[in-house]
Amino acid sequence: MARRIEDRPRNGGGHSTKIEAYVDTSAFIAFLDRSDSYHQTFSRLFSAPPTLVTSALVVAEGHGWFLRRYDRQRAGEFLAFIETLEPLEVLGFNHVELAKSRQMLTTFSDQNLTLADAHGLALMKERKSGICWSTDRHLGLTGVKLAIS
Amino acid sequence: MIRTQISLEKNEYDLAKKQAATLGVSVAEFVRRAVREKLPVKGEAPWMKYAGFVSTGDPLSSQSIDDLVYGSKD
Repeated sequence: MARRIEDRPRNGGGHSTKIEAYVDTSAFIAFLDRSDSYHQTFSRLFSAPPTLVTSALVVAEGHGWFLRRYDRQRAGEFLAFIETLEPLEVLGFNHVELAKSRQMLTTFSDQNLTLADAHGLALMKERKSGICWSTDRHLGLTGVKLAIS
Repeated sequence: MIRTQISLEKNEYDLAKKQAATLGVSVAEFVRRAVREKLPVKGEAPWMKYAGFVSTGDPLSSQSIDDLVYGSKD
């Protein structure tokens, strides 16, 4: 298990050339919930993933989803899954990330974005992510290709 | 086969015994099956054991996260 939570993205703060996918909460839920219509799609993607990145806010959101939908035990299993997912890097959230996220919220003020969405958009822009694993069309607002499209 | 010993809460043991009887297997076999179910399939990435570990019954589950976590969103 090589888990990292970093205050800022690696690769010189946004000049990544490696292939990486940003993972939104919806991709995790689609993978973990066998009832979801995108379950097979994300099962296939997670079975042979590239480098993955996500926001600490996404992990919090996923944990909250399991707490609301189920209970502490299932929420704990979600965190265990995140710990097990070795290709995933969890990027931290601090004042700098907050400022970048607020900028996204301002840019897309006509959309009801969550802070987790906004941070995802900011991270993808900064890291020049080529693809986003999400079933939420909001994550494609900056032009990043969604894995489901 | 390795012989080992585990401790269960009484209610867990009773439920396991009942479920084992329903399946027509011993409690030991029932526990072995439960352990196998939780272990990753050989050659498969360890996180894949979590694939579909819940079933909400909602095909739009991943598209309604905000409704559940925050209340609502467009």
